[in-house]
Amino acid sequence: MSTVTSTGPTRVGYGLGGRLLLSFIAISSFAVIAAIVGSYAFHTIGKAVGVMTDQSIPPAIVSLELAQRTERILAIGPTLLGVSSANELAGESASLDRELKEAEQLIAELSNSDISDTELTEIKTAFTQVTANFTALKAVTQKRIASADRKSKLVSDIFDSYSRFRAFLIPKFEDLQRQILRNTSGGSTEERIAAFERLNSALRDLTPLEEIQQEAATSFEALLRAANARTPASLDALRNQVTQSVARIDSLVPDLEPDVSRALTLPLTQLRNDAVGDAGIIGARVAELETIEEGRRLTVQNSIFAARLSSAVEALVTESKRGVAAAADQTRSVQKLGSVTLLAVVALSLISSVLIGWLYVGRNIVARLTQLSSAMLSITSGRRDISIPVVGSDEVAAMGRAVEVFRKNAVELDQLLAERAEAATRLEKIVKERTAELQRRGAVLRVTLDNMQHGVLMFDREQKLAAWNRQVMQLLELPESFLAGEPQFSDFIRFLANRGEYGLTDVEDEVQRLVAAAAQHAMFERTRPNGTVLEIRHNTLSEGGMVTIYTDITAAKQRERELEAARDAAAEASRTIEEAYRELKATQANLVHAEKMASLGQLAAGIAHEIKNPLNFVNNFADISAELLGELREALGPTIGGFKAEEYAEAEALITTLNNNLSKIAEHGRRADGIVKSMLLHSRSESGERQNVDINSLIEEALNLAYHGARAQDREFNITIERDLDPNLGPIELVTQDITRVFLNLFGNGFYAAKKRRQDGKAGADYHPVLRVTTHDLGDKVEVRVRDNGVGVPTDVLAKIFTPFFTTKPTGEGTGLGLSISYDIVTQQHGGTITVESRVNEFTEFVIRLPRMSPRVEKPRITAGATA
Amino acid sequence: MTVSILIVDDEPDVVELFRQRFRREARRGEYVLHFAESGEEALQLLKAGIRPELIVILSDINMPGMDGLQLLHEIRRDWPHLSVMMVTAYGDDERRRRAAELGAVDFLSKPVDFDYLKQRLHVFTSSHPPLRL
Repeated sequence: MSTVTSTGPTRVGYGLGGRLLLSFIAISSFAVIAAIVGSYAFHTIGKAVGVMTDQSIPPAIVSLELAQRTERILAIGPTLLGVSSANELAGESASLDRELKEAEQLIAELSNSDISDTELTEIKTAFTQVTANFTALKAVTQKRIASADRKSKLVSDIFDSYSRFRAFLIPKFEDLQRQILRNTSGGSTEERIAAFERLNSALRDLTPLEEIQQEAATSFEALLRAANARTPASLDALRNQVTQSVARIDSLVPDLEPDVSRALTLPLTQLRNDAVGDAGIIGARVAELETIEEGRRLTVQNSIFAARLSSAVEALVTESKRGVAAAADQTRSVQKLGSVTLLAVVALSLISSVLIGWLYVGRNIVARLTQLSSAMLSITSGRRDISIPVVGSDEVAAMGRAVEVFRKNAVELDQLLAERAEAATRLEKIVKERTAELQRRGAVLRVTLDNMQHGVLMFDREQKLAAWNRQVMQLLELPESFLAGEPQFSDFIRFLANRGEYGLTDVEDEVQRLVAAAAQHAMFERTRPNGTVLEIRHNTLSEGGMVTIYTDITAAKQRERELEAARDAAAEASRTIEEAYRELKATQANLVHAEKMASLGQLAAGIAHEIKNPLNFVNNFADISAELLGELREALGPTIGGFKAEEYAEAEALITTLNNNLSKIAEHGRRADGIVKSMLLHSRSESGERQNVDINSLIEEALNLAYHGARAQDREFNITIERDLDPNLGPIELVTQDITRVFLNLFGNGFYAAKKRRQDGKAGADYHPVLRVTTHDLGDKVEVRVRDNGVGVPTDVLAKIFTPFFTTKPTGEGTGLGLSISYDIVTQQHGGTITVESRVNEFTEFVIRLPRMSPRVEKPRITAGATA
Repeated sequence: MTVSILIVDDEPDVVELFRQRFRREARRGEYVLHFAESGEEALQLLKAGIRPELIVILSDINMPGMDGLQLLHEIRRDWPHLSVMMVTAYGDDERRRRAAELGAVDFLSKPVDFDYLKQRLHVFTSSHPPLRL
């Protein structure tokens, strides 16, 4: 153990805390810089916005308002033109003055702002012009209204004087008219003459009056029109018209009675003044038209000045808008600059933070701590030769020095442990040597046992398992764990019995029996449940205990059995080969026979076709000839009477003979036809439908038909029919029509044979014809046997019995085709077999075997005969 | 009323056989018999026109050259109003079926049963147009 001493020079400096503080201050200072830059940017933006609000926007607003005012002032000009009364004019003037004053104020406001002087001057000039123009317009309008007022007063005056004029004239007219009416009625001649005198003078007075009245009406009407005339030209024409009318009246006045002319003087003077004078209606209308014209001119001028003012204001508005836009642009650019600067400072601060973190904290502090930690881990895991960083004055360096002390302690501890381990190793080595010696000796014994071919079990004096080998474990399928428990012999037996080694026995009985038997020598064989055969030798030992030796003799036993089986098989095989050979021979013969039969059948069918046509002609012509002979006899009827008796008899005899010959030809022709038809059956087309049928009922049906057929031919015929039909035959697939033909044929033959034997007479009176039909189920086949006790068939005939055209019947009774067709139907069509056995004068038996599912045998089609 | 029958057969004796078999009917003026030795000749006769009115054609099947079924096909195509009976020595189902398919009115096997044939012909002459079987 050593005391802790500090190694390396102690340096004066900042601790970890100080350094971390420094780095945090550095990082924070960047944040402060960012804040300063940000606030500067905001300040700049604020200034730009202020410029915009204080300098650019107010003139713009004022300009817009001025533009609106101008619009309104311009609208008043045309209104003045339409004003018709002094009141109206006063109202319009007031609103105009108000607008003008407002506009003037706005212009004054504008001149306070920093609007350029040229524009302002332009506006001021235009405004002054507009103001002057409006003043003129107002004056003209005033004058126009005054003229119009005077004109309407004159019109009302002249209407009054015209009314007075009429008021004077109308009683006059009435008086004159009354006088005229009075003078035309009754009275003396003088009176009448006086009346006519008065009438004449009245008429004289009335005529100029009426003319005056007419002229006055014309003048009055012309004056009224003049009051509303549109042009000075039309006024001149009207003035002429009135002047003429007045002159005419003046010329008529001297013709009037003096009182009348006196009465008319005032109205006429009035008319003259009002109409013709400059102060009259026409004069007033002229003045009015002039003021209207002046008004129009001023209005036009006004609109020109107004347009000028309007465009000047418009220019000002545009200028103001431009100022606002420029201020906004400036603001935006300042804002952008501020943002970029801020971003840059923030990025710089982030980078510096990362750099400080990585360079200073990571490399200086964490790296050294990691170094220390890995050094400690190395020491813990056993490495002692590492160097530990102890240089420096901070906390990490202090920690390094502590670890160094720890390392040194560990080195000392290691040395102590190593000494102890050496001692242990020595001891272990001695133990190992002794154990190996023991194992070697045991192994010799075990190898000996394990290399034996037999399974060995050894029990000691106490009946406890003492030794065993691998073979016994395998042979008896004993688990090692069981044997390692060194069981008693009885437990061993119990274990086996429980496992079913001795079959289904009472376990304890078996244990007792075998423990008792164990005291003796024994040797026996035992077959285990898995089929292994064991030879077991059991010996007791002289020193007590016993040994059981197991040998697997399964293979030997198996060989023994195989040998025996092979011997048996060889014997069987030789028998089978012989049988197969015989069968093969028979099949070959059958095949050759079948082939022969088939080709003969086809040949027959071919021949039949060829014969059929000429035979048809023979038959037909024979028939017709017989008919013709009859007709000939009829035709000769009348003449034949003229024949001599012997000639007639001769002719008759000849005709009769001819007739007989023809009927012979017809008869034999028909026979030949029958043969041909039978032959043609060999070329039956395969059109027959295969059906699943009950063959027993087919047989019954055929037996009935055949029996009645035979009885029809020979009423004497009698036969006992025995049926032994298997009721459990089940259905079979057949062409019913053709199979029925086979049965009819066989039964017919049987009846014929039986009949023949009876007719022979050799059989004796106690002969009973019997036909026996038997059916059997042969699994996939059905067997039908047809046995008769008739004449039987000699062996030489038996070989040819299925050959076409072979018959033992007399000519005309059989075609020799029945059995050959049956053979065809059974073998070719149904894939079955037909065989025959017979002993002469004892029996004939046909055996037919039909498969339940007959193979489709395609029979070669007959195509003989080029012509039909 | 006299009507015609056309018999088509390559066997020359058929002419004599039919003439004799139908001698009474011919004498009574019921039927006029026409003969052709081949399908081709039969078609020529039909094209040339047969007088008096032809009501039935009897044709053999097995003939050199155009066979009866082919002839039947052509007649049914070009003269669909004519009735055709097939006559053959081979009365197998296949030919029977083909003939029926092609539109034959009857199928007779050789030797021809003349009584039956006359009965059938009588039906044709009395019930005109012919019945189709």
